[in-house]
Amino acid sequence: MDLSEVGSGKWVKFTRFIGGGGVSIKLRSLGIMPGDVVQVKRLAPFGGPILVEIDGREIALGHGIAKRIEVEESTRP
Amino acid sequence: MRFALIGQPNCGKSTLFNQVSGYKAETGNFSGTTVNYTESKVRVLGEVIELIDLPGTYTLAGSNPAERETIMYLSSHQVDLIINVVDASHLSQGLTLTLELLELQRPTVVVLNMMDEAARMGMTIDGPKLADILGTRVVPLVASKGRGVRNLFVTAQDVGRRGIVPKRQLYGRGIEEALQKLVSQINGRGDHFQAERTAFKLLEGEANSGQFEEKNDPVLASVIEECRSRIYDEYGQEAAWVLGAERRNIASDISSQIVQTGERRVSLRDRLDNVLLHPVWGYVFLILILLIFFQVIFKLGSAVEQPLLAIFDQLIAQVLIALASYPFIAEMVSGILQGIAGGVAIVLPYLLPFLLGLGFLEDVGYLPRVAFLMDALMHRIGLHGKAIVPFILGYGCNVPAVMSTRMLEDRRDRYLAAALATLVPCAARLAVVFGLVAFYLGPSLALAIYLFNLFVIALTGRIISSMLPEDTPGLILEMPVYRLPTVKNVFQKAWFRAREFTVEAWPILIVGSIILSLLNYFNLSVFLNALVLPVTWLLGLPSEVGVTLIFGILRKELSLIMLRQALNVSDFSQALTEIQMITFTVFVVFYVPCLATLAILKRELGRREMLTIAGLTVVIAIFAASFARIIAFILYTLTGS
Repeated sequence: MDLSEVGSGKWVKFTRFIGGGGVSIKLRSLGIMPGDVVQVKRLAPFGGPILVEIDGREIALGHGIAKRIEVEESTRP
Repeated sequence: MRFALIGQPNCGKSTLFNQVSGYKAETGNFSGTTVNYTESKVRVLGEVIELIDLPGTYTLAGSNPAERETIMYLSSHQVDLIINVVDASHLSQGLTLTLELLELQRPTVVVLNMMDEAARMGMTIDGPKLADILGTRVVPLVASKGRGVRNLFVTAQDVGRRGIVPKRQLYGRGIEEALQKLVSQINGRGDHFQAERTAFKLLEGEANSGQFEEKNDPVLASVIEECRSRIYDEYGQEAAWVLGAERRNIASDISSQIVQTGERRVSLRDRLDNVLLHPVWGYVFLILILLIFFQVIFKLGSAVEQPLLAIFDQLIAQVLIALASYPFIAEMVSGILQGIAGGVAIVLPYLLPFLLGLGFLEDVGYLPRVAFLMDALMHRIGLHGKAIVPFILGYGCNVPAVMSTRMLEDRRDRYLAAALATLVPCAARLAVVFGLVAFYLGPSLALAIYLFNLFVIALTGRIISSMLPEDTPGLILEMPVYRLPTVKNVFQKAWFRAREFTVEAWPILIVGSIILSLLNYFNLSVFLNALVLPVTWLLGLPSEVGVTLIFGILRKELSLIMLRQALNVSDFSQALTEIQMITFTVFVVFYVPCLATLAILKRELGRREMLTIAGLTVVIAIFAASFARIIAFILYTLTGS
């Protein structure tokens, strides 16, 4: 399952970042890493970005990026 | 002494910097406002200190140019003290960078900024305990209100003088062993960074680990490889990720030790975002907010512009009379005055209110929300959500629009956004659309031209982005909390940006104006018309309009003003057919941005890119105008009028 398939309000754990190094470096530079448990807060319409909350910070991830983030279901930590 | 301000994006470094240096760095509630470093000299207790504001970065292992700037600066300049600014309301996140900085083993002071916001969120922070854990001095600060600034610099000066080096945190055993091994391997070799720092970077696989060339050193390379693979075996992940995760675990552990969280109310942010990011209401409010924004600027601008220009017109008329016996000097002086008037007519009425309004929206934190809402749409034209800002700005004036492309990370995105933003009809082009099409042919046709413009921009975006090599990686953007901007900050920022325009673009405007006066004086308009003849001929326009197109490059609304003179009529319908009016207007909307915009394009992207964009706009303008001409012809033939 990737992040773009997750519904609003759900908690998920990032398991793996797929594809080009650029994206994972970019995510790491924002402090986002595999193992993070995040809550999907909002979805923008028309296949827009996904807003997730990590450690009290809200980060918008574009649809293309979300497709490259493998996730598994999780619960509130 | 030299102090460097380092911190994560949007933690308030630049706000602090501006508090002590006067207004020199751009700030905004938008991560990554500072791209290059800014220096300023500050006097603290009788000593002059060089203060460096480095761009915000989440990690020293950053990937974008702004992030790399920080590590490059640290490795190439003598820095006596690092002032690490941390957003106290997001302490755990901020401390991950702090831990990385501690690895550098340099004198460091940790500043907990936005203490007021942390307090509002119900947090109490044990500063002394943090100081104890990190082995650095920890200072509280509210940079936006200037609270704690003096205390910070007194502390910083003390730490810098004594050269107190903090202790770094210890990581898991596997990592420490690998570090040891690498340190003993590289010890004794000359390097700007200490051996341990290099070891960290080698382990993380960074390209910029000092002047170290591991490729030329097979022994070292094999040790690195061994260390990395051992870590991979032990942790199941690459060393870079393991270190990142370790830092974060320690950071969140420290933060849970020193932060007491009180009752967190349902935040204002959630309630506001429920409306402003709503799939339906979000867009309704976006349109409403932008409508109000432009309405206010347009009303303000036109109220100021008319009387201002009237004063200049009168002045020019008087000069022409007073210097009537020296026609050459009179023409030159009026040229200079025209250039000054051009700047005044752009800057004061439109640019300033525009920048004030923008600064407000930016500091409140609304712009990232716009990026969120518009991301899907922007992808259709090969960009992502953040690039919406230049487009919004473009409707006011292309100059700030091009300047704002700086917030995009990739050069490809900056180039594309700037090229497309220059196609957005600014307020001056609006004057032409209204004065010609809306006035003579009705407002619905004017609206049609605007929609056609959007269509052409989208099409151009698709075509250009399909030609550019890589695809945009997509939006990764932090949504900041809403903050109430301070009046001082908004005004200073507007002033700072307006000054950029004044210095960069205005002189060029004046020089261009003088050149046009020269052409006018030597009666070279026939020559100018001949120059533009290919275009006017192609579009079926009278050759006399050629000169107005040249003048339009100086200031877009001059096209309309000059048209009267060139055609020698006061009622355009006597000299131009309806189809010609439409063709002319569409051409003016798209062709070469004004001189001021060209100057900014050159500065932001370079001369070649500026020329390419200018050439591109001419091609687009010819195609668009020809297309409009054909459609208009068909429509008018069908309706029989």
